[in-house]
Amino acid sequence: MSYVITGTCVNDGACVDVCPVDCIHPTPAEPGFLGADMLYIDPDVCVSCNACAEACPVGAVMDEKSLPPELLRYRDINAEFSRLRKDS
Amino acid sequence: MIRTVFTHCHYCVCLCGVKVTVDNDEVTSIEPDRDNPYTWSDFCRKGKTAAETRKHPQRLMSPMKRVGERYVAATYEEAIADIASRLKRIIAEHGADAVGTYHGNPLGFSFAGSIFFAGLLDALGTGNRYWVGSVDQNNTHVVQQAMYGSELIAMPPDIDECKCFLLVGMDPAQSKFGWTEVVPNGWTRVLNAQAGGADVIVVDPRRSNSAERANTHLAVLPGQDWALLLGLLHVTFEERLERPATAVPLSGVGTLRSLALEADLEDLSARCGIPVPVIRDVARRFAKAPRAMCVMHTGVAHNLTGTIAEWLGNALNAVTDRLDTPGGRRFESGYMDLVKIFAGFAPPTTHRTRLRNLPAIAGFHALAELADEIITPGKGQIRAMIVAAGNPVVSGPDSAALDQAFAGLDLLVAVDTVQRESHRHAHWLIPGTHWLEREGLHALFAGIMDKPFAQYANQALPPPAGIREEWSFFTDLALAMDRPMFGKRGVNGFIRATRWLAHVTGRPQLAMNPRWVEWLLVASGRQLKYGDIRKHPHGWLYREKRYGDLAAAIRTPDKTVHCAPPAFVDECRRHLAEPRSLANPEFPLMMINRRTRESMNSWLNETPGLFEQLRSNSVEIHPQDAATLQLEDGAWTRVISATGAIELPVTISPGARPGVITIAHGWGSRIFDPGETLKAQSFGANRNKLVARTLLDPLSQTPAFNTTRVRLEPLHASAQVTMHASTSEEAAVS
Repeated sequence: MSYVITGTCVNDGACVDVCPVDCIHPTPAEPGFLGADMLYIDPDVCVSCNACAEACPVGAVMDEKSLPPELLRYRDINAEFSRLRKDS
Repeated sequence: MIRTVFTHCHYCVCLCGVKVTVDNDEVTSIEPDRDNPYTWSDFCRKGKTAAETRKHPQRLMSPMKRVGERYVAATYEEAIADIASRLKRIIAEHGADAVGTYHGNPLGFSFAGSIFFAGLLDALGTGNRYWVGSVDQNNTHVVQQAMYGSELIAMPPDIDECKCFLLVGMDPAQSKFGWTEVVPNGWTRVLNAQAGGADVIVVDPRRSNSAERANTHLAVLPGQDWALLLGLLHVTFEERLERPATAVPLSGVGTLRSLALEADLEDLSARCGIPVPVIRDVARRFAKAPRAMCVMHTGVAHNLTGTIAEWLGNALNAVTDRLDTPGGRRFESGYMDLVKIFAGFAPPTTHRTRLRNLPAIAGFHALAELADEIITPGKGQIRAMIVAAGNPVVSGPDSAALDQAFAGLDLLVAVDTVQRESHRHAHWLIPGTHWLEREGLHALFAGIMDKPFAQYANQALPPPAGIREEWSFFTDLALAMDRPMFGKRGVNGFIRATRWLAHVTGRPQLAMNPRWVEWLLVASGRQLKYGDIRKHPHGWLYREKRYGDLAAAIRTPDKTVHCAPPAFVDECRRHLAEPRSLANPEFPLMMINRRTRESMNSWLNETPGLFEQLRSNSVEIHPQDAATLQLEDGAWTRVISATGAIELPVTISPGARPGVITIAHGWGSRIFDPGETLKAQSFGANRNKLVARTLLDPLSQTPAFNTTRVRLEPLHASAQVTMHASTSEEAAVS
């Protein structure tokens, strides 16, 4: 189980600061942050602590289980970004 | 050289398994140990930043002696000789009770520290022992003693089998379900059960993160959980929803039934602020669920009615067959019979406090009494204090009174990693250790885990050069005073003999040390081998969980669970007879507390890697109240109670009900620099300054941290600036 960032993400990076396992990318220190559409949670690393959801100023982070059907695709979008990042 | 060390975090009872990477003498990373079979999932930034806390810029690196208004570095030998001679003189002149002691939560996470501190207290022979448990968990001990016959019978929630969770006064999304029990990954497991159809009912005056995820959130009035729980029992009995107890025999159910049925449901509803149909609905859902549990945490404990509410919740579990049954509150026997060991070796103290004549609970007196016991002259007055890993001025009620009391002590010895608010007037500062620097098996946790689990914590790094572990300091002090460690004659001679042997053979492990106690405890249980536990660096789930051990563990004389202890029934009737709502025009608002995952009481709030976005507590206030008071988000306000006043910024949030403000505890605790190179540092404000030390739950002796009446006075902008500057510019030693 993991948390998922959805399309309302505003890239402010608040979640990056509070994540205990550094599973949110790109971080403000990483290349790609400036041009990123949104940030992504690596589901293999996430410990589902809820810290990012609390920190997010726009409520863009959700527990995978509570994603409404119209946002379910973001689960795959987060996972796919994380897979590509690790592959590259 | 890069090493990997597996241990577990010791900040909270999640006890997260961690993987620590060490490069020479530096910790380079702390990550969750995903190979730990039980406890890594609640990993948070407290554990991640543990190495920063260890390297605190104001960390005490040697004993420090107060000389006038300054501190000077000293050796352990100088410290021990001076403290021993002063304590001996005080005891000779005024008796052992003239030495008071207090220990805080971090000492409880060090098995060696806890056991050897207890050994020192027995050596001193003082009955004036105070501890942090008296400001939160006392009510659970009082209820455990009365209902189950021992203060140590804990019953962790059996989450995975549960179909209906009634969670009262707790926010497991923040606490991760940990308080007096170890329930790793607890909240996620509740959510998993919920996804599988379980019913989650959260009772909290605040709409917490947990409440948001609940099937039903009951925004109870602060301090009125007891009325709600009695209402649930009323409906359970009235509608014949009880279930016969299958795991343990019950007694007193008749008395409980009469009490519950005599209470008027409309009256209870008015007291707790939950409509009658909702009480009926929740009672039915709970009683009819095939498997269910009622769990109460600090939200309940921090009230004048904390004990009766804890009792009524336990009674609800008892009469609906939720004790030691699947999905209820399961008793975990662990790998040794702790209850029996403590009953044999540490019989309950009969010491009572001098002024209020109150008994000890779980072996300790209430922090709320400490200030008066220090300032009131007479035989038995406390003249010296040893404070171990504690910050009682901030953790306890009426902080100003205790601070003032500490200022008048003949001797204050503080053992900690840094000089905290409570150590401001210390004559001696003795360095403490960080858990990354310690090893050992915390044998006392065995009986509070929700699964049979054991983990030996390995040492990541040794303490900084010259710093001794706390247990060693406590032992050395008892030896120097020539008072028998553990209060048993012959122990000091034995310790000296083993130390001599270690010295002449050059094998330090031959000197008596905490590993021996751990080994003895494990061996006494005849279930596990100490060596086998150490062979599992990631921790060990040593057997499957089982049910049915509670009946044999109960220590009431008739071996039944007492559902209606007379003292509780009387106290409940007293509250029922009291008028319902006492409007208070002077203090119209009620202050409650909240949990924040990154905070650990007053301990970690200054760690650089925590609270990167907002490093302070605040006054959380409902938009309706904010509008009435013309307060804007972020504006500063003065919070005033009958006891004290603090100043904080306002956060407008629909979290709590109107009329209720929330301020987290643990903030506003200064860290001093005894070297005086840096100014004292603190963040936020200490809300316990507002809480009275005389208004207590008569059964648990716990103050009203969650039901303190206050009023708010908006501050003008100019006042805010002056106020803020003065807190940050406080001199290191005032």
